[in-house]
Amino acid sequence: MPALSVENVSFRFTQPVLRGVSADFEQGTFSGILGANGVGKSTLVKLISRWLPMQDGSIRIHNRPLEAFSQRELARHIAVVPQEHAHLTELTVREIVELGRIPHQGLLAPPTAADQSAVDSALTQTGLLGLAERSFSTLSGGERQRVRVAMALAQAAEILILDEPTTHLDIRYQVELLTLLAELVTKGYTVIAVLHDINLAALFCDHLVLLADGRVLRAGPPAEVITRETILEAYQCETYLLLHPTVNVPQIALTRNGRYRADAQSEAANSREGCV
Amino acid sequence: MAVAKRPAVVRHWSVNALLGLLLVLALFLSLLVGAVDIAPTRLLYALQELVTEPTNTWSVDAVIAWRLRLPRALLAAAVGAALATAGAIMQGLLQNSLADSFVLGVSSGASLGAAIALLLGLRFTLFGLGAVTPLAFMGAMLAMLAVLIISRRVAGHSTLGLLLAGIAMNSALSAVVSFLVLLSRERINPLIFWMMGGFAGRGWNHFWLMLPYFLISFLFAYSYHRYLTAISLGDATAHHLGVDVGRVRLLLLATAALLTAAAVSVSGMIGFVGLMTPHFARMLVGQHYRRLLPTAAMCGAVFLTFADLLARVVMRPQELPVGIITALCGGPFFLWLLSRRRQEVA
Repeated sequence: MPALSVENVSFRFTQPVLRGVSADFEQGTFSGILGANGVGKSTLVKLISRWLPMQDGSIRIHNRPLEAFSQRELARHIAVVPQEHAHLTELTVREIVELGRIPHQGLLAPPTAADQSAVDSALTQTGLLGLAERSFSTLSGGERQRVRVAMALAQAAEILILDEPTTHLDIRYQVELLTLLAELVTKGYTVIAVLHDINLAALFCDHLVLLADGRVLRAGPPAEVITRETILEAYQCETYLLLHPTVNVPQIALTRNGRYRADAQSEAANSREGCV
Repeated sequence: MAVAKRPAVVRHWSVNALLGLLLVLALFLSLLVGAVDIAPTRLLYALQELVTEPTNTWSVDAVIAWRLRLPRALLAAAVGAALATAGAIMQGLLQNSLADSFVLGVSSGASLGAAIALLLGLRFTLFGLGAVTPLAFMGAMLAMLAVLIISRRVAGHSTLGLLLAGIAMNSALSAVVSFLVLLSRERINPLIFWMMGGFAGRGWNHFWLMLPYFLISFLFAYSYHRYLTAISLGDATAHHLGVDVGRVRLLLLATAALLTAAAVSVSGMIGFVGLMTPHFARMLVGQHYRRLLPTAAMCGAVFLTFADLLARVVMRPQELPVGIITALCGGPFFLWLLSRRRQEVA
């Protein structure tokens, strides 16, 4: 039974965004959601987190429909790291991570030992223990993103959903963050991330869902999902397909102009070195 | 880690202790000075008299201190605390550091409600005030909801839209209150009082009627301190933490409106206390509402007690409405905040 299943979900604002999306996310896997801008990746995340109301279709967590959860209960099963906090805050790192315990706390109840240990463990796993008393506004972009992940970890939800977590991070922080997420997956978390970087997605994810035109174009392991044809169809952009030098996953290389012809010389070079 | 946390906790308590001392100082000074000064030694004697002597043998000093100055100073402290709490709540809920009861037109709404109650002849007796505050609350709620809905519809979540809607609401409601003043010549004095704001002639009954509203509202808001902190980080963040943002926001905005209404019922319109004091509190103890709410309330109490003290002495024996003092401090502060915001945006 999948940890999270999306069945035939459609959504429209003024125009249709999602048209019958179905996808299963298995427990203990790292899934990536890919697709062009405006294809509805964030809309899907917002539907799963109930930030947007369901219009059509159903979403189930451990086979229980989303509507059956109270908001508080849902927050104990799904932790969401949205795109960028809108608000810069003077709160300390520890104070922010402690907020992750809200779904487990009574209104007036003081923090319990379980709260404390969840917060400490979240800080440890994200390597933030040394920064715990620092103000959030003094942190770098990579550190801030780790604080958001730590807050989600303190929620102790088994499903972790991240909307474009690597945007605005340099490659070192991108790799650092995705490595952290991959480690969480080995501990049993189900991680679902909306990603823009196809190469990173192929490198880190077990399972990819490629959206195009409001539908699932293809879903499965990276090698099945990332092909010249699917990428062309999803992104309207011609690319070369390569093989990662050490890990057996596909990677893409871009062309100038988004067309093979403009890049003929490179293509020749590419074929000499034996691309996939 | 416990060691690392301790300084913040110690600091928080020492800040509150210091504010407590300042408040006691302000109250003590309030007893000493006024149209007639009472020397500190005579005041101590009078205080002793209050405890040991029967009411009818009190000296003039004792009567002035107990019947006039102490209730007035305590009322100023309670109103300051209420307005500061309301301001802190609104700034967090609306994620807007420029929000407060006065700026958003909530105070005007409350004063219109109170003015209507007065016009209908509901006097300042114990039960009369019982009717003034609910009407002020209704006025405050209506004005606030109108401002929020209009500003959201017209300008999304922009600060400017909120401020403009608040200013328009303020002007419109103040005009209505002025009109009511003209309509009722014989009750003109109590109504003018709403427009000026002040503590002249306020006594124990006002204090006792105001206090429960403040205490209950404050404790209610305080019990939501984690939710308030989460919402101050953005609606989406709070939502993902399992907070029913719409419900909590409505509940807490109503609490802020009630705090405003209670304050306005006993003291009229006093601006900028709720705008300024939460900022001082934030500088002192940070942004978490567990610490911010109590410290903001303390800052408000200290500030307004001192402001009222000033209002009573700067033009002795005449008295200034305390609203003039708070506006003189608050206006420039507001402009400073606005210019700082502009820099942040740029």
